[in-house]
Amino acid sequence: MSKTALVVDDSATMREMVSYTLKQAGFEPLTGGNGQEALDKLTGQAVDLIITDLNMPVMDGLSFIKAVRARDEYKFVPILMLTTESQADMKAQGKAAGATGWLVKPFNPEMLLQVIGKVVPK
Amino acid sequence: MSDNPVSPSHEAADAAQVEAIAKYLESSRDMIERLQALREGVHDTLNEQFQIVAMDLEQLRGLLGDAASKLSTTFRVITTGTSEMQTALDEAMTSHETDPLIRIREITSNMTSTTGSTIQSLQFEDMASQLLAHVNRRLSALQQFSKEMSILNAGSNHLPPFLTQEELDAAFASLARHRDLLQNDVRKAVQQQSLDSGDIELF
Repeated sequence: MSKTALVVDDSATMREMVSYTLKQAGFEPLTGGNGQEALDKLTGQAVDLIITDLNMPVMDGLSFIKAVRARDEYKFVPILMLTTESQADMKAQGKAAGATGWLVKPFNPEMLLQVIGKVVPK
Repeated sequence: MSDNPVSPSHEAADAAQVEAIAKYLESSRDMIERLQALREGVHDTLNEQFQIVAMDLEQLRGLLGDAASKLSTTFRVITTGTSEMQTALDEAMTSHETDPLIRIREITSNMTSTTGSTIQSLQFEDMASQLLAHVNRRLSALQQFSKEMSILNAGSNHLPPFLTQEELDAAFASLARHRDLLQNDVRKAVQQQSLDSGDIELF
């Protein structure tokens, strides 16, 4: 049975690139254009991994992670932030919100899959 | 009417007038100094902000150039690979040797790696969009700043405008507010200068 991943980014190109990479690793990707849209899609949906951008309209990545972590069923789902932001204070905010890891764009597909291999249980 | 033109009452009036003129000159000097300081502040702010905008655009130019270069390379690899694969397939179909099949496997592996590089390069769109949004927010703030500072425009006689203390205070407050906004609120989310892959940190 394939694993499911939720990809959240306001850039359609980014959603497509991440989804393509995840499919290569056997994931079934779901996508959302911002935090709120992703939360709506998440309702009642089991996911094995979440990859989210930080700066997005409507609901940003930090608020999204906090909302996800507030739901019992998603407390331990690995959440990777994939963002252009690289400042230490932003990373600290991500960690405090409940992110599992921080990747600075642009991502290299091979390296992304290596990170996923480390955070998603086999 | 007195015959003496410099009577004590005239002297007192003259002294009062001289004092009033001196006070007026003093306040005019103060006004000119404050106007000068305001103009310098406006000039420095505009100069600094335009330099930031120019740097953003230069960064954008670099990212687009890097993306175009990398995508051109991957395009060449993919088109050449496709052509070579077609040749190898033709050979494989007309012979019983394994060499063409080994060659096809090599080409496929090379194209998989090239696809990864293409994925990395195509992310320029996201960074370019964020950089342009940053430039736009800064330009919007500068437009509002310029509007509020139009009070400094010279009149038709090309002389500096006469401003009340209240107007000057308001202009200084506007300068301080916009400086703070432009320095602190217009955050820049993209620091990358190229499309090399970014840092990874697991918490």
